[in-house]
Amino acid sequence: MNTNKPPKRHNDISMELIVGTVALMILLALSYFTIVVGRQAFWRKTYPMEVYFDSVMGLRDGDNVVIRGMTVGKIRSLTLVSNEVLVVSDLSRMLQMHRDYRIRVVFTSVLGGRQLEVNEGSADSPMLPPDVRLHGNPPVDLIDDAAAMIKDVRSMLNEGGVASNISATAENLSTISGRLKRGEGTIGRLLVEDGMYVQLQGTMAEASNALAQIKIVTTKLSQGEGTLGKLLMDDRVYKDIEKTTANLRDLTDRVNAGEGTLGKLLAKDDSMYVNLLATSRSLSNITARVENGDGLLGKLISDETLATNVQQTIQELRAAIDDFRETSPVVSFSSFLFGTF
Amino acid sequence: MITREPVYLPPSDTRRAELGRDVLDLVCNCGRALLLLFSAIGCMRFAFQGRSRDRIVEQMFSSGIKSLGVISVVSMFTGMILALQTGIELRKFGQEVNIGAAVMVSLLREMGPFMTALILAASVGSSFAAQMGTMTVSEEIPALELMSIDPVKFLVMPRLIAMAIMTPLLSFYGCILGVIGGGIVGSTQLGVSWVSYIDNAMRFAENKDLYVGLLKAFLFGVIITVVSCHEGFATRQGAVGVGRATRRTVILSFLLILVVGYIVTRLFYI
Amino acid sequence: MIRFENVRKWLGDHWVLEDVSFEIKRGETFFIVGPSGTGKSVTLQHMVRLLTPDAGRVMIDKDCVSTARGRNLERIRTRFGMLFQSGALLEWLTVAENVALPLLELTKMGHEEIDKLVREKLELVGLPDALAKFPAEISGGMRKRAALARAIILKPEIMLYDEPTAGLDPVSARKIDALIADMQVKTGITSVVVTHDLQSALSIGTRIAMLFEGHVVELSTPADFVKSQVAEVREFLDSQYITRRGDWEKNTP
Repeated sequence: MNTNKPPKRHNDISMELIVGTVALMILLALSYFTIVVGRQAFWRKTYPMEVYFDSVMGLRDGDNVVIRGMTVGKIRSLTLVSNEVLVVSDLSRMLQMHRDYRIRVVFTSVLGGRQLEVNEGSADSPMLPPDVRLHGNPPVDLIDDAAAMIKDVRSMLNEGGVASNISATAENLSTISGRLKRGEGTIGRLLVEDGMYVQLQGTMAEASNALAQIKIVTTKLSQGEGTLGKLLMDDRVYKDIEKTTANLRDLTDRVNAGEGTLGKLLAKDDSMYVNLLATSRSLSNITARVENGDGLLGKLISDETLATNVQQTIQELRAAIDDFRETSPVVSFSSFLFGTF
Repeated sequence: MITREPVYLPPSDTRRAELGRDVLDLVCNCGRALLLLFSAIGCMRFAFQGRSRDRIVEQMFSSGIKSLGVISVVSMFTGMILALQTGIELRKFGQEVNIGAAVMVSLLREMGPFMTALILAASVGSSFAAQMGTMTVSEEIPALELMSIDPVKFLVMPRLIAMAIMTPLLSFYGCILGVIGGGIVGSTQLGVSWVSYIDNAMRFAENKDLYVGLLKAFLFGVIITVVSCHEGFATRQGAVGVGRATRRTVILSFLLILVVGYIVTRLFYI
Repeated sequence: MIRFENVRKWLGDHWVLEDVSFEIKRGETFFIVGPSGTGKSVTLQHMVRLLTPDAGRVMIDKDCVSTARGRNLERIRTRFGMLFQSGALLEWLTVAENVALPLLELTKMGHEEIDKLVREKLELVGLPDALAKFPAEISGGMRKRAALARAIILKPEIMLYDEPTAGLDPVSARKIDALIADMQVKTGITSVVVTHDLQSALSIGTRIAMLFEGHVVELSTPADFVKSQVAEVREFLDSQYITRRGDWEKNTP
């Protein structure tokens, strides 16, 4: 017998070896799928959708695809093709597009984050053949959204043929301005941006119309005409008119200083400021506050009368914060815990 | 069979041989730990027989209830830190009121189970490893096996069940204390009233957050027990070996907790 | 009853057992002696498959313990009781609980019955007062006796003792010897004792095997053992001041 050679290892490690190998393989596979492979779910069947865009406004792979507010999939890839961007997304269901479909990139929140919003089109319009090339609509900017809001405000002013409407509007606007006194953020930005000039001019025009109506009313009142006489008893209207005077003064000062968008606006169109009443104070204050802006967009939320738009903005902000928080539990852990010590 | 022959191998001649041996060791250890887990699960059919039940309760007390103190303090301060840090940031946007949600959700999803697991790995896991290790080197494990008392059934299974139950409970308890801590900071430092804090916290927390957090905690409890018992049983060379087993337990548990935590988050939130 | 057939075992960097063969008969008190590091404990551990031979085999009656697995191995092991060098009592249980452990775990006996048996066995090993003490609170000798009580509570056919007298003062050591001998007389148990304490071996052993460098160099009754001419045995005897003309011969059967 050879006494110097060690015996071979026993075979009873084979079971451990097998189990260990299998376990490590599974772990490796899991790591591969969770770390290396992108963000699409790897065990579900998905349906690809290809859309061509002129611009995707910073849409990224992994962003959600939503239909009527419901998430149905994720962006898989974005590729530059000739002068367009090809966006491929994985959807959890097959989509049947109609001829009046609409696909666009929208903001998920004021702080950023994009998603692909798909509208399949109305059911009564003809179906598209499945192999047709889908084109996306130009992206929507929040600024445009805000502009739409201004339009709403304008229409509110416009429709207010009756004094009660005007007073409501005036109240609303002064509330807004009050909120925005301390406000920055999207709405604030909106108001300092030169590009808004045209929009504002439109608003001013509408406002001047409205104020012309007030004038008519006042004239009629001075003649002691009709039931509107009781408006004189309305404290709020009185106060609004009083404010108007103050606003006008304030505005004039600013115009002289040539300050801000409004200043520019008024310097250009001299005749207008005479008619600017309720809106002028609000807007000039906004401008002033925006310039050295501090404070809380959030406070806007308590306004009940003013438009879902403002509320939506707030909700978006919340969603943004929510998003930020959700997407980074580990990041928040490390930054909070390790950052603290 | 837990007791195994020490395998003495001649020193390897080359770097490559050494590496190969290390890899083989890793794979075998991994397999051995899993087999230990499987046999402990197999032993669970005895879990409700008189003595085993007593032992489970005993373990739940000694590993769970006795950790309440440290978990309370750590969770509370984590909640306070979270509230303060998020609060300071959110104040810039006038959103301090949302610290409720921030604290609640991060605790439920990640911090609660994670912290609880780290604390338990460092305290209970290391004590398991030291105990098993000492028993192994002082021949108590072979003695048990020769008496036909299965160490897995006798030692591992009660600990596994106790930890699998207690870790989620402790994690949830930690979350509650963390939220309370956050509320204290919110109301005293950030001017967020208790009512709006709690309201905000409850509004943003989903059931899913809770369940996934508890699932994580459950997995962490299993990991801690299996790693510590496996390392304990694999102890060689007396007191030094016990020290090494304890150390390896803590390191390995931490690593596995992080990896598994990541994978679970990834599987449930994307 | 226990038969080693050309057992070889490699541990670390050398052959600890190089071709060991012997047979232990039923009812014997068989001693395995030799200096440290010659494979005495290794031999003992082969009997209950704590170690597996690299070559050869160990037979327990008709069962080959070296290849047994699972239930079969468990069945073979239940025939053994083993007293470990350190006692191997569970530190967090009292002496009584330690002794009761096999009964609690493996039998369906009632508490009173178990209690009675535990007291009986502790009395047998001379520890009637240590019931409620923890292993850390009692001396080494007491610990070994408690462990012995635990080992015999399931009435094994074969008792294995790993260095039962090591680290004990001579008085305690002789008490343990007396216990081993007593048990053999009372229960007819087969005992295998590993020791380097020749006093024990010569006074209570029926046969003594001397291991040296992986070989059995001497296997005889105590009477013949002291007369052995093998150089290693002589050296070993001399080292413990045991001469041929001691009074060992009187005790041998």
